[in-house]
Amino acid sequence: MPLVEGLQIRYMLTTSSEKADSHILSREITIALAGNPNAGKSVVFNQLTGGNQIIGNWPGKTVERTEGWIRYRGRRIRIVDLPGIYSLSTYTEEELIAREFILSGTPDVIINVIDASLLERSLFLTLQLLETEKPLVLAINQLDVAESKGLKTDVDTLSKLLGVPAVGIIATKGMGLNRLLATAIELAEKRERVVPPMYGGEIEQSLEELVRLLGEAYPEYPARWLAIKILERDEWIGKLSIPEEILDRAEEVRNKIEETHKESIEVVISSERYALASRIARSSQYYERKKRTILQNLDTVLLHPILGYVSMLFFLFVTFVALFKIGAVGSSFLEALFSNLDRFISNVSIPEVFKNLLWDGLLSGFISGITIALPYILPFYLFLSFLENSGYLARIAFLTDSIMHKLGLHGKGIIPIIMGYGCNVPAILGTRILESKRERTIVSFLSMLIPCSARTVVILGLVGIFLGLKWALLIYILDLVIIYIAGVLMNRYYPGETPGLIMEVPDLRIPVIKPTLRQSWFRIKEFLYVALPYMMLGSTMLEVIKILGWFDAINRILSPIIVYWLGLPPITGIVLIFGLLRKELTLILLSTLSGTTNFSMILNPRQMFIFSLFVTLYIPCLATIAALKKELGNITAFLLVIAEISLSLLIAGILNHLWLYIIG
Amino acid sequence: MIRPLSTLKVGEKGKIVKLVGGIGMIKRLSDLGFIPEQEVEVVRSAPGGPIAIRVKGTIYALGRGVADKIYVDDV
Repeated sequence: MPLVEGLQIRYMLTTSSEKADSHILSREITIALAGNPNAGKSVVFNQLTGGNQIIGNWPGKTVERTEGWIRYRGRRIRIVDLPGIYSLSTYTEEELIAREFILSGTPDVIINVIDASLLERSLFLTLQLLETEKPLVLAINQLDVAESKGLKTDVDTLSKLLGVPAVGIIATKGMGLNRLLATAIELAEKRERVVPPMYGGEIEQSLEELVRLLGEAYPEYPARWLAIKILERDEWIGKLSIPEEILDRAEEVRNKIEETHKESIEVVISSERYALASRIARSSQYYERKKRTILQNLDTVLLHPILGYVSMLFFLFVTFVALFKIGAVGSSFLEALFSNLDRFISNVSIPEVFKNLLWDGLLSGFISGITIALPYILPFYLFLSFLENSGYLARIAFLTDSIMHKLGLHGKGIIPIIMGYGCNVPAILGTRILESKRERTIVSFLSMLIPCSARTVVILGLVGIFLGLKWALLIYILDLVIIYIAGVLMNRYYPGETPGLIMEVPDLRIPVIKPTLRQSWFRIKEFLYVALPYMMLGSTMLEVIKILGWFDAINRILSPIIVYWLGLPPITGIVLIFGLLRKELTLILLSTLSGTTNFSMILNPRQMFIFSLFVTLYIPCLATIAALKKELGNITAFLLVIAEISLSLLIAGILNHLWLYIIG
Repeated sequence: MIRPLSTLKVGEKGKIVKLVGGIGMIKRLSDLGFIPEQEVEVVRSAPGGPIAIRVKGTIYALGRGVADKIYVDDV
């Protein structure tokens, strides 16, 4: 079996080189930040690392990974911000990632960031982190918020009860962070294993027995932690090939426990953890009085069955108008800036062909990317970060959940779809907020059908001007109907099922500016890396086709579809191909090729309507395809593109023939 | 009276008696504090849509289908 042997050798090589690495870097300390979503982890992370950080994805996952470095007394400290989680089970990708990272042995110490105003629930995770027996420091965050809710926290008692150091912090104000870092590093140097928390008598007895049976067979994991996972029926245990007799014995023990409690083992163990968390929380926190804050009053309006929808529509409408205005202004400013470059290049003395390739090809692809990304996408990203970090995103998802369910989606799916009106690329990158690949695929497809700002230019510039705004509006409504039907169909025929909504609605808060800005900046950089190369390549290739004089040939090849099925003039064939680069290019190129901006000379009303509708639906632009590839993989991206082309041909063609048949 | 959480009105409280449904969902809910004996309160209800429940100081939005699977008793 040469294949297997080869694999084994490679495996051995990587492990030995990893060992060498860790030896060289032995002075480096790795700190893992763990905590619930919204506990303030990213604020702590930003405060600790300053600017030295990189954002990427966890290998092979769509979950964002943030890592940073600092120097502390001549030492290099690596800080890894783990995804926000509620538990260390295997329910979500985030939980799996956090768990793997913690258990792989890499972190020297864990900083567990806790929201002091949600102490009991936070401690539920803390207890599980302690089960892994890694050194741990508690960072009791948002002491100010807790106090405004009437909750006084006794940090020392918490520390005593859990047997680990605890530091009270207010991350947004940078308070307590130096002490937190010093405590974490001191703990990392000691390398002491922590004492795991003890649960109820019968569970402890069962665990003790399993630990005895496991012996020293799995030295890389703490035996008691393994025993808990075996008892919990954790899926991941299957990978370890644990001897049958241990699993059988665990089964017996589990059955006995389930019988006594008349509950499944998951519920029994969660209840045990919560009972302990609750005891600790009650002895270390005191409740004084309750005073409704302004944000709490605002929340009553935002989630109100009627006012909630009114305020949501108003908020979204205002934001959209603002974003479009900002985009338009920024875009024309950038274009003016770049057009100076055009003059410069035409003065350079190189052969015309190279000028065309360089300017109309490579550079115009680059410029297209920049003029879309900065003015349109960056404000959208800022808007999204604001929505996320203020807690309003969760409220929109709550309000729209019932409509979205008909499309097989959660309320959260509305967010990327809304973003699609600005640009489809952030919409597709934004599908990351959804849990399953099924949801991400459906939402990506639906977002691609949303007329982005580039397509709005075509719809308004052609149908809006020459046929009237009513007809333009009709395209938007038709588009929404198509999206709705496509969503319902995809939900019915796409295998799998969307699990019911279980989502935290965090307290409303005013977002901290720095992390919000930084997050947007990293996302926009990511967009540029994904989309720019494709746009430059595509634009150059089209220029090559132009230089080779293949336009007529392409128009002839496409004419059965363009002329007979869609009823458009042959010239639109090449125009539609260029639209792949940027949809508004279709209109610009149409006027260049026909030599007029009075489109009523070359298109009749039917053709204008069909052309605009087809441009809206026909194929995602190259940047969108690149985003699809990145988020969903090559195969799914390819299938979605094919599906969209077929859908647009079907709808535009049928409408064309209907129009011809009815109106003539 | 034991009944599904989804039938409670806004402002009503209940004590969880039992979770039914798939292991994955039960695990998730119990991780979030939806465990037997726990007191819960309905905070908001979107017409025909999800309901917002307060548990241990946190508010969660639960789809109707999820809330149907949590049985509560009077406090």
